[in-house]
Amino acid sequence: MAGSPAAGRNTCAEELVKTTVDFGDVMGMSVVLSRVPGAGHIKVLITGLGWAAADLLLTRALPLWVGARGLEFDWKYIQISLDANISLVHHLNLALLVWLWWRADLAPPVRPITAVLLAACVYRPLLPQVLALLLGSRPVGFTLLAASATPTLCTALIASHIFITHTAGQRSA
Amino acid sequence: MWSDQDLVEVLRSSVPYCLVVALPLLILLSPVPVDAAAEFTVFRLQQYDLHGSAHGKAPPHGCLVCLGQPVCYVGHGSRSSVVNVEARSLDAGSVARRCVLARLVDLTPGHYHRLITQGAAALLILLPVNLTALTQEHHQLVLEVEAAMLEADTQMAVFLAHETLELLHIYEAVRTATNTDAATSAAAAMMGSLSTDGYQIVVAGSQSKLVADMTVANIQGKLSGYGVEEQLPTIAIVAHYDAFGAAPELARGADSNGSGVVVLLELARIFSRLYASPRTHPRLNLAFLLSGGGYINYQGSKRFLEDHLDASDSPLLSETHYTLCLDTLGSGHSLRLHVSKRPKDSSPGHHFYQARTSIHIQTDLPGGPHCLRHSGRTAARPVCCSFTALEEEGAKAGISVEMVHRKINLQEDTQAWEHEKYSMRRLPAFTLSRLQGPRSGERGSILDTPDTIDLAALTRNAAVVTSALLRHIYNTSVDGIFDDGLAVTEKSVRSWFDLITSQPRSPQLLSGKNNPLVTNLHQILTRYTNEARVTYLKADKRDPEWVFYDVTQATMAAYAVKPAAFDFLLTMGILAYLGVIYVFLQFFPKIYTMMVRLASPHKTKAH
Repeated sequence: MAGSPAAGRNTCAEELVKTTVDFGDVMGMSVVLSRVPGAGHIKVLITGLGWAAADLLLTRALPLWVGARGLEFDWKYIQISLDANISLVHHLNLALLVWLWWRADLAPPVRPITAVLLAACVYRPLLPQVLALLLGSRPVGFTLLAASATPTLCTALIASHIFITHTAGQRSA
Repeated sequence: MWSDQDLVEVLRSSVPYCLVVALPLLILLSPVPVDAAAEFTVFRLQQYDLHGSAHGKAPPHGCLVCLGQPVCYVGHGSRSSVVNVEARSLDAGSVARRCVLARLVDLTPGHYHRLITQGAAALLILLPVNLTALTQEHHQLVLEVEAAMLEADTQMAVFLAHETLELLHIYEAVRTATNTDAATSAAAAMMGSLSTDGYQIVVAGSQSKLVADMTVANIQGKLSGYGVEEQLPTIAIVAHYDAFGAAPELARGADSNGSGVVVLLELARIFSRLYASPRTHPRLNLAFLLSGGGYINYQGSKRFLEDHLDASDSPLLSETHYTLCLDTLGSGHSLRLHVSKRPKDSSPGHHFYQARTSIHIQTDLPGGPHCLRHSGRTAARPVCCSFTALEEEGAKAGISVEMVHRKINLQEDTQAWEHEKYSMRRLPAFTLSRLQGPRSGERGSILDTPDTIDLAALTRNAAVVTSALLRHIYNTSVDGIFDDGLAVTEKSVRSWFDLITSQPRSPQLLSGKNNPLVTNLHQILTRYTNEARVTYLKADKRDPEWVFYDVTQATMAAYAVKPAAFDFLLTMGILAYLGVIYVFLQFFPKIYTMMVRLASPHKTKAH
């Protein structure tokens, strides 16, 4: 991938390397999944919800607390809140995919798809730059929100489909 | 100590309810952070009370304003210093309880009075970057607006600020926002009013209160003549060093009276050299007075006269040739000598006045009475000869000097020129100024900035005054005396000028025993004169003639706010969104089974 032309922005390669570190998130989620008691979808729900809540508290609570209570209005606070919703779905996706990955009895044709989806989830922060390359300009505001919501929803649908087909075998027909 | 299960139990049962109550409470009670769109320094209008009579009568006189109070106070300026209202532009329809933003060139006295009657809460005036670049018409308008603002007092808070890009942006936004009255349709107008940014103008801080124990300082110095000091006559040179303007922090007073102070300091410098050498030590005393409170009816001169005339132990003013007051000499090609009264027949100058032919009268003593050329004018003798000296020196330098005679009106409470205070005590005095009349409006305006001064003209005027004085004192033409440091140079004039105009000099800003400007001037006079000292005067405790208020400068914050209807709509939108999410969650099991059913045909097919 060509390097980003604007001064002060890292090249795509650097960004890629930096985002690869987020695989640690996957490791962490695996550890949490193994420790949560329960079975099936409740485990996924607990892990995903807990992770998203922690992410919300640590990342978005402070800007909202400091900024949104002032006299001035800014659309960015609405965008932060909607982004929190999207990241909830994203973390649920991630929990589901990690759980599916570690299932021993996952059907072999499905494993590569799961791997690709996992990688896509991990590299999600690169989305604005990819869009900037595709469309020419970096999307901001609500367009950025819509742009990050779409892949998340798609991933959610595909992951849940895999989950359903996987657990269908465990349900009595 | 608690097991995991117990903790989970506690959290599950109590935390949600606590949060429902605690979180809104926390949000409501915590202090709102200050994070403004723009913050800038603003200067407040003057606020002062003067002892009375706008009505022309001494109190108590049963007028409705005073209503039985023992003293009649006329307030001036703005009485309020705290603001927290929305912004509107000058041409908005209703400005009641709003802050009006206006540019200085758009404001007229009519507009100002209209804003007061309509009940505007505040007014912010934007000053152009270059105050000297105004046209003649605008200049005159600004002087009129200043006079209108200071004439009476108002509850409206008035602030002045320098135009910056940020401020101009806010001004334009407010102007276009209030012009939606001319929108095409009702729906468009409503959408417009809902979505445009309004601005909330906030000036925090406390309400202004009067400056307690405000002091006005006089700085005086003396050069003693050759001989017994008490028996020698005196020439007093006086200049008031304070300035005035619509806003105290903008009162630079470059011409009025920075120029007067500069000329006085130059005279002190030159004469200190002449008095130092025994060859040139004249037989008369020179007294220098930098009087404070010039714009509050020359309080400094009044106190100086009380100290030296009423108190019998001071011989300084026992015999004065004249008092030369300097006021506004900074530019122009002519000087005017303002005098108050014609001499009576029994004045000392009478014998001199009688000699109408051109007789040269000289005496041996250099300090004694003389006149090189009798001009037949009807004025007091020392005034006459100093005037002729001035006239001739002026003609040599290329400027015209004329005498302007204006009677003192004893009915008036305030004196127009400083020399009138001395004339009222029967001392011969005059004021030298470039102005035609005392109330031209140019004195005491914020437009009197250092750029308006012509330093070359000021140097020339200072040179004319110096040489006229030298001529009068030494009874000789002074060509040839201007060498080895006795000449008035533009460099030294510039340095005095930069010193005096480096800060605003409105009377309330010069209050206090350790004011740096007063200390500085005292040091300068100590260097050049003997017995230089500072006298502080205060207003009378029980019946003060002048009262000033503080809060001359504040920080104004402009917050970009949306109208209340917008907040309501936004809340409705968020509630609708949350409702949709709730409904989705309620129906999730159904959606799940539908997805399972969609997925299972593949399974049944495989089977």
